[in-house]
Amino acid sequence: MKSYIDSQLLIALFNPKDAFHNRAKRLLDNEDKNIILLEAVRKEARDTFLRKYNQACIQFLWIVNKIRTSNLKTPEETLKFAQKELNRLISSQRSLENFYRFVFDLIKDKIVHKDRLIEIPSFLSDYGLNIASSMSNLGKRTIVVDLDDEKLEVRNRIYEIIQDIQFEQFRDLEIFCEAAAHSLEEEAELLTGDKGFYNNALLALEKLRQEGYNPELKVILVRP
Amino acid sequence: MSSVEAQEMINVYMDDLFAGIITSANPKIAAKEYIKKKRLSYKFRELLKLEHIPQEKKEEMVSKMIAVLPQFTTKEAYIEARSKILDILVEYLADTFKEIDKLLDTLNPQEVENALKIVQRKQKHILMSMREALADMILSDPSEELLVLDEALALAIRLYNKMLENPDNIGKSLFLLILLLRIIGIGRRVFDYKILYEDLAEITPELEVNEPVPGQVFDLLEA
Repeated sequence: MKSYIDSQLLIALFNPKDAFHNRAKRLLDNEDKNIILLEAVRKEARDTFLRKYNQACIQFLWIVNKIRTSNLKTPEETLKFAQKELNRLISSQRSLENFYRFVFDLIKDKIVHKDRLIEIPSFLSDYGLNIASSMSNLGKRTIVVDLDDEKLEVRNRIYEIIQDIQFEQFRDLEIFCEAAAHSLEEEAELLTGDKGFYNNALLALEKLRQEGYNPELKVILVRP
Repeated sequence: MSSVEAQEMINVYMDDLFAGIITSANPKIAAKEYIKKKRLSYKFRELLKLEHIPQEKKEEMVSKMIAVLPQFTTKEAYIEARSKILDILVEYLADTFKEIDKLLDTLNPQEVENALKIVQRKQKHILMSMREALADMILSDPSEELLVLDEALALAIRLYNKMLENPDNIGKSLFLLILLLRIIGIGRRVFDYKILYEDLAEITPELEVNEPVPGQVFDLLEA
């Protein structure tokens, strides 16, 4: 059976401190599960990644700004200063620790050259775009599915039927519609860690059935 | 404040961005590059007028185009917005559009492709110059808004690269059209800059990046 995962579980994979991290890893490592990444889920993961990455980048750009106007003379002095700033950032915002370390590793060779500091903003932007683009595919761990024209039409019809259901975000509605469109012909499960999404998905399934659509979709609430 | 500087910069580049917008909406417009080369100015006066649209009219057109940009960032919503944008362009430039088809009759496919490449290269270099100015602003006064604007410009440049590498990628002009208008809309405070994250999330797969290896990205983030 195919298993679709929601974006919360996908994002938890990237963050060891997320309450769902181990659960999401076990799901992905389970060979009996045929884990499918929907486009709407990948899109949310890209969005979340870029927001967090940029938050971390901005903090480092302030550090670069300080280095630019400082009297730090040697590369060793500069690195020591940057390392100290990194520790300060981590202790002030633990939730971004991975991202802080990640960005620090990206730029540590560049910050020691004062004449190359100007390259850092563009370098960080380009790097973020590369990662966001490659996040569409997580290698052998998952299968990626896209909607062909026929399924796109089905998804749009599903959307029209359930659009009044108050999903917390538009993206949640997109994820449900995509999963439902894929499972009209094939049995599947939609795994989520979000109680609100779970409840709305059940309502949406009920509404679809009333309208004569019977997606073979089972919504499962995953616990951390 | 740095975002005010960014706003000013976007306004300075407004004419260039406008050229990029109309060519992205209708790539055939690029063919006008051949009018002077082929000494056909006397025949295609309306097309040549494109370069001298009064500022007021340009502003009006851009405002109307920004107003039809979607709040939800899906490919279908982009396609719908492009159709509305084309209607706006036809409303203002009906005679110009008529001449394009006549001009295309006089050009061979290679010339059309070359004309498009000339315009795309020009546009790409304009965006590169905007990024240079932005890099300086970001280093002086870092802000999330400036960084995400830079990412949007970087994405637009790479979409131009994709189209320059392979003319079959012309479909990517849809995303350029949305990005360029969105950038102007943010400069004018019509949109909050955060909507760019959603555009980036929708459009970045168009870059078809194979490096770094996805598995490495995963492990790196997990570490």
